[in-house]
Amino acid sequence: MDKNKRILELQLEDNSIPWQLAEGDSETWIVLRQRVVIAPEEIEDIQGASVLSSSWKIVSQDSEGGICKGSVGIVVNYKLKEHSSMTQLSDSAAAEESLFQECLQKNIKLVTEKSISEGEENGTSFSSLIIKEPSKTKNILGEERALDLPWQARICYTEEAPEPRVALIHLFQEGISTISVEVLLKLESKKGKSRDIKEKNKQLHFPSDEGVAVISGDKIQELIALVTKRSFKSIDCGTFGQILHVKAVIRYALLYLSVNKGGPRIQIATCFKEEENILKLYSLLPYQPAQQRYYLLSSVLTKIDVQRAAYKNEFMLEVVKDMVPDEKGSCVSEEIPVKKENVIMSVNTRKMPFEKWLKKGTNKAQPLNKNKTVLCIKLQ
Amino acid sequence: MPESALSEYKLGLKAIERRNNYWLLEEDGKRFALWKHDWEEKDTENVLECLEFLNKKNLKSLPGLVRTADKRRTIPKDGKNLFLSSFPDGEACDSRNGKVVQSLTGALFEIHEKSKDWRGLSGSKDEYNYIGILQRILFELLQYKKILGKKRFHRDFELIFLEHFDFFYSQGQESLENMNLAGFGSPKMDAVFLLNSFVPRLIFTVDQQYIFSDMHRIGFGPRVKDLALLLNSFMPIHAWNMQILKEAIEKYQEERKLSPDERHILIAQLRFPGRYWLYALQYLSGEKESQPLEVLLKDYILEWRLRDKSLDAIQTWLLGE
Repeated sequence: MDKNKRILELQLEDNSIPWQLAEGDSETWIVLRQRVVIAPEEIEDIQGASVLSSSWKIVSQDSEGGICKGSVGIVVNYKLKEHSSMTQLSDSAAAEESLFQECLQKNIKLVTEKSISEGEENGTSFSSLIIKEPSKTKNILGEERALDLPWQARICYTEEAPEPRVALIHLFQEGISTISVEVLLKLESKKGKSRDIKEKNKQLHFPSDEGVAVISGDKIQELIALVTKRSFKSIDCGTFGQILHVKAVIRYALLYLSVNKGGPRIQIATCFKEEENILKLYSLLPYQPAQQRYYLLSSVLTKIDVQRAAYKNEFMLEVVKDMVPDEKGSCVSEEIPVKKENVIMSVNTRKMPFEKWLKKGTNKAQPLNKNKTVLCIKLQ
Repeated sequence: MPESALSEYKLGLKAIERRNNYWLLEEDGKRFALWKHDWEEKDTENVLECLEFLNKKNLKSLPGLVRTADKRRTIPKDGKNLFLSSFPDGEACDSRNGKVVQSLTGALFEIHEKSKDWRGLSGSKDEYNYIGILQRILFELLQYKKILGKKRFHRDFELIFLEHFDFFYSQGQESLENMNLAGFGSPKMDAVFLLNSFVPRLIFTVDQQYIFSDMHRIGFGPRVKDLALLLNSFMPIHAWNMQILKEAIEKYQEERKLSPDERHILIAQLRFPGRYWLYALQYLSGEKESQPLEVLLKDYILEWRLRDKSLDAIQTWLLGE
């Protein structure tokens, strides 16, 4: 296998509520989750959903991104059962009540639980509805319930803040009168799609990453994205100072739609891998870059089978050579000439007894004793 | 077929069929039932002695005990005790008739009251730790929730179980509160003869007299335990109709009122979501499949929507709260 081809053994993440993040260097995905209880009525079917509003604002920011808060307003349409009635009018309730009393008397308890298989396809008869690119106009089907799904996320961006877009909605019936909603939001950075960045203090590199992502404990129906985020970045100069070793730890997050029903179907599986890129230096002298940024240029994700996906991501690695503080105090990557010179620093001379009085009336510029001045030379 | 057990009796018994908890037998057109009792031999003997005592009191609502040829009440077999009783040859009670519930509680009161005269029960107190047991059941429910909650995808039964967990758990807590208010941990209740089973098809009507024929769980305990079980068994059929429930309780305490402690225990027993725990146990142990249990649980939830309202009203009526 190619050196850069990886096998990603991904672990399923827990389904967090009210939101779950898959943060990337260039894009962030947010899965919003909420439950609506329609009790005491019984739901017969889920009919649809539409997005009514989406609002967000940046609440704090720094040079690499910011914290964004927002909310998505949706309307869920469903149909209620006309008649909810007990089917059991037999003796079984009485027999079970007696059995319960017997269990108490005999102290019967669960000793070994049967193996309840995980990931069984279509293990529920309750409805599950996937809506891609949901409409922004209200449906007029059946009953409706408006929901507001809040979210917060840290988003990486350098220029314009990305705009959230509802990519998918999954609605499923979670019991007799509960509807669970999953809304998938995508926030994509607009920066970094072009290879034509030419600035003299920046060096560009175009690494690619390909391999196979493997999940276990679930089955993929449809792939959504493979998001990568780099952390623990480090750079060293190599043995002869002619190259840069750019290292990072990548967190891969595979977003997919599960085959299985009976729970949240927008799933995130993750793993960590180390990455190393080697850059040839343009400058003759080695340097320690001030900043490195990754931009996703292209991403191809193909389903191999229900548990495997082939991926190929192409990135642009931007290494910024130097940065100087701007007026506001934050660093900007502008090259300024750095004056290199030897600095001579003089150490205070030891004062003579009565010097204070002796100095009076004499020429101040003239040192008292030239021969005894100590000089320390520091080369920079 | 317990042929060896049948030979212990003088009668020329012939087996008709094996049912859940007993063998139905016949001799000269008369019906009998051979029961299996799970208690220790000595304890079964005690209960049967009490049954005989009640038979002698001419209580028509209980079947008569039949002794072996050598006058023994029980036949020990495989760690259990077999005993024979008469079995009514009549029609099963009309469980859909609200008045029947009232009549049954009246008949039950008579059994409880008369059994107190049996020497083995005079001054006897129930030693059963109900609070501890119900606490254990609630703790187990939490464990079941944890087991099922860990799963990523659920079957219908699991979804319904998890959806209604908070409601049933709070009903269980309320039940425990009532147990505590009755001081059920320390002052023990008077023990009486208990039937411990009220399956409508095993309660017969013969000459306008109701006969509780199910003997396989008979025992001793506080009388409200039996009263609560009878109501829990019949009231689902009547959609927990407040009027029927009230009349049934009134009939039971027509001659002797329930004490304040007994009222708390009655409410506690009616409130406790026993079948919710039972279905989860049956599901998790693999005894039953998801689909039939899902139907039962769904019905139980619909039943509880009516039951909760009715119990709130009964609680106010019984306890003045």
